[in-house]
Amino acid sequence: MPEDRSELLQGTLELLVLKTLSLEPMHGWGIAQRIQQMSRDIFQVNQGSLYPALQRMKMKGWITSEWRTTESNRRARYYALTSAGRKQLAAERAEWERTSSAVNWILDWSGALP
Amino acid sequence: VSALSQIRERVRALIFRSCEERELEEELRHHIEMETQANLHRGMDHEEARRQAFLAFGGVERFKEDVRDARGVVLLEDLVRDVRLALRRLARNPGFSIPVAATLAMGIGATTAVVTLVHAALIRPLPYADADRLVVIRHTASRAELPMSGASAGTLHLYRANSRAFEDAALYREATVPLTDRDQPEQVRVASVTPAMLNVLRPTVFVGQWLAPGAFGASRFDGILISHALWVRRYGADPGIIGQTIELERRRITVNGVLPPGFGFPHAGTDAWEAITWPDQDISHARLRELSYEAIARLAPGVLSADAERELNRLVPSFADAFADVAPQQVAEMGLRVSVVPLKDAIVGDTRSPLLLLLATALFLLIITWANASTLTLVRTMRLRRAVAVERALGAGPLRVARRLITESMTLATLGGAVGLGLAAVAISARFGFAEDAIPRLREIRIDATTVMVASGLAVVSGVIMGTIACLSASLSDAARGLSAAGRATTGRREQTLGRMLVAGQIALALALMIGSALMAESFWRLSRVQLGFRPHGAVVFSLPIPPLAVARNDASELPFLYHRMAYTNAEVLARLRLLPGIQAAEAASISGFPLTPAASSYNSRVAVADGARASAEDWPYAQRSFATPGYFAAMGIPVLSGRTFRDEDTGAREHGVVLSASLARALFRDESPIGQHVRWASRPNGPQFVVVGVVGDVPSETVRDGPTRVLYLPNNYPPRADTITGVVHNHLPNDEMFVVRTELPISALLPAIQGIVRDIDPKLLATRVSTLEQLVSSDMARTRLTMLLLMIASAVALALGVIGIYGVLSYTVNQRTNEIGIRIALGQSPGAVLRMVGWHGARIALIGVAGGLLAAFVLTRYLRSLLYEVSASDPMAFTTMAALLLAVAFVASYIPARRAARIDPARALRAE
Repeated sequence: MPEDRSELLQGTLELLVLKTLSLEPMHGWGIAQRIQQMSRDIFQVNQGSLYPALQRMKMKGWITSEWRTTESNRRARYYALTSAGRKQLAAERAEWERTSSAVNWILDWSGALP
Repeated sequence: VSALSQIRERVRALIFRSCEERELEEELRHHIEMETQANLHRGMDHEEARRQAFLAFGGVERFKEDVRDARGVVLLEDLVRDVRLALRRLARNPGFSIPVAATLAMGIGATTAVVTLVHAALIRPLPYADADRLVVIRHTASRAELPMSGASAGTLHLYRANSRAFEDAALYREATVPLTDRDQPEQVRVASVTPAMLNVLRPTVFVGQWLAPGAFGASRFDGILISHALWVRRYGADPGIIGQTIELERRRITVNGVLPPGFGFPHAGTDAWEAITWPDQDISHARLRELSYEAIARLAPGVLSADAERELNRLVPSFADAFADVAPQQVAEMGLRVSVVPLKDAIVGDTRSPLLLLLATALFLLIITWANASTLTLVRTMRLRRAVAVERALGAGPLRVARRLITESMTLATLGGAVGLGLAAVAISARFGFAEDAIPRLREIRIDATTVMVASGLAVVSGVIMGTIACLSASLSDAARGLSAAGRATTGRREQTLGRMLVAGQIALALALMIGSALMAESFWRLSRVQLGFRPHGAVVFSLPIPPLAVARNDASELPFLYHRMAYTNAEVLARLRLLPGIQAAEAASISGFPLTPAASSYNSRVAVADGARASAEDWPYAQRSFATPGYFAAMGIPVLSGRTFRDEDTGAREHGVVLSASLARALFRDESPIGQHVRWASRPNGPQFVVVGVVGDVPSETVRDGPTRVLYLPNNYPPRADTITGVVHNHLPNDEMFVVRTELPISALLPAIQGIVRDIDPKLLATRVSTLEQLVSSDMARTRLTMLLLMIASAVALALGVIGIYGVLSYTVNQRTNEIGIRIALGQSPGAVLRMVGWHGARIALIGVAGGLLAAFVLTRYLRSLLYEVSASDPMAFTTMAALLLAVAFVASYIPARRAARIDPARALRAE
């Protein structure tokens, strides 16, 4: 995979993970499932790339992890949002909205200055 | 076997993979299983479900790697793997790794040990509170031929009263005396100190409990304070000893405290402090007296020793007013000056230059080992070029290759450093084989943080140097050239130049060391050929310190009694010794004037020709006073040059006979015959006169190096005659005689007999300083010999490394040029010409090295000057012979590869392509 594209996806992926975890703590596969459900046809993402992203976010202190037992009685690592992560989500979301509205504005621009 | 190796792999994985690694594994497995499960629900068969799960995930290993990267542990794990790889590669190549590790170990070990030693002796603060404020006060009299001498109660009293430079000052003098309170008499080192010493050095003192410095008041200090070591050794650390008396020189003294562990002054091994005080009237009468005590002072805060020195010197002109025993013009005439020296400098004294020499030698060796390791690395990297080229062709980036080379160098350097540290530890714990007092503060030397830091620092530097050389050499040729170079025998010019420079540098340093050791060897040779003036072989000497009873200190009327007691003791010891079988002679003389034995300078007096006239008393020569038995000269093997030795009648009140040493006779009478002439003490024109009955050969003074000493021998006949005691001659107490026993018996056989006789006569006496005359001579030369040996070993190692360097570089060149040489021979060049070509190649390296070495030696040997004896620091003999020797050895080292080149079979060489 070319470097620049994964670079591009990284920020988005992190935003999606943050959003997913803001709902409830979840293990890696669960996050992947959720993101896939939400974006199946939009992104072609390897599920594996989720894990380096999780590790990076953990290092940044946005999420924490702990080993818990799943409903099916197996051990799995659950990730949860920290308060720093919550702030990050808000910030990234604002940033995203700003960027996307700017992009939308450009795309919708018909050539006339407002 | 496979099961076993599997287990081994598992164990290794467990050790090297962290806990996190296992968790990551489990997490990813969980993910794959969940996904597989989901796929099964979607109706796939098991195989397909699993395949799709992996596909959706992407490369498991790659993402694992990414997670590790994100985690940041990748460096450490890579390091472990790199080091293991490096170790394996090094183990496969012992011809390179063992010599490099060994030379590095030697260089690092020697430097570490020496730095630790120098640090302990020169740099580390003294083990006393605020030690940088401690100074010693000494006096010099430039015009009175007096050596450095100490202070007296009078001077110190004057200074303390008139100077603000010091917080406090104390006097001390150390002596070895018998401790006689138990069955086993023991020699102990006791320092007599004034009570102010507690204020100056501020030790914690144990009196039932450890008291903080100052809490044990200076004014209360009387009796004796014993060292912690003596307390433990002799009194079993019994606190009950405080307040008890012990018997020192037969005087019973109260133990008033124990000094803290490890504390000792003036030496680390000093066993006790005995308080000395002077009666008040002695100080109020204020006499200068002999400057025979050492003085130590604590500077007031903020005062520099130079300031204190200036202040004290301002007081010197007032000596004549202050002291009754100094004539007004005397002070000026003597050129008396006060010197205030930081205690540390005073302790280091004249061992500074041998220590710095040692340090320089170690650094030389270190640089040589670095150059050697670099050369070997260079040669190896050149050989490695093909492997490196393959690696790079397979996609390893230049950083990857550099990392591998650096890891290898660092691993090797670490190994070398570890072994070097071990070697240093051995040398340090063996105290380098030095006697305890040979180097100041040697007892304090420890393997400490400095040692470890120096060793690891040097290892890192070594690794960086070798790594840089390796990378430099590897990068000098790019991958493509490397591959083709391996096929076609071309040589990298620049690496070769670098290699030649390294070898030439090694040779230069080796030559400098060789010249240094040649100079030391010549000094040693000259020293050992000095006419000693006595016969060292077959003689045992000892001294018998007889404790002067306390009563003698201020009561002149006790003198005759004491004299008799001591004289009879001495006479009895001599008489009993002479009865022993195997003894040819047993005689005695004063310690002053006895060759190679230090004595207090107070025995030095000026001697004048009785009716001679010289401008002033200061024009007469100094001489040591020695009281010798008539047979002393024969027993020592000192020749009687003219006249005769003593006879009984020489101890008369009128015609008291004396014997002069040759140098004294020359100084007094020039070419006249001294026999029958009269001499007297220069300071007492109307004092007793002595008639010269003989002249004997010169003997060296305290050390052979200082040349002969002038001695005035006075007769010491036992039993003494009354008139010699009552002051005609002196008030000399025969309590410090050196006994000399001429015998073929070994010292070990004689020692019990001597101690037996002494104990028989007086159970509380102990013969000390027992040695043979030969031992005295050899220990006098110990420092010269040690320096010489050290430099010789270092230069031998340096020479060997230099030779290996030349040989290695030439062999490599010949290997590389086999092909070219083959063509040359095939085209008709004679083997002789090939031999000359390769030989000249080696000779050029050697010549450059020798030129550099001569230059370096010329600059560096001047620092040896203080250690040389009658050899110039730029002695042409040493320079030329060593240069020639090195060239000869270098020639042999180049000859072997050159001959191999000349014998190359062209057919085979060309086919080898």
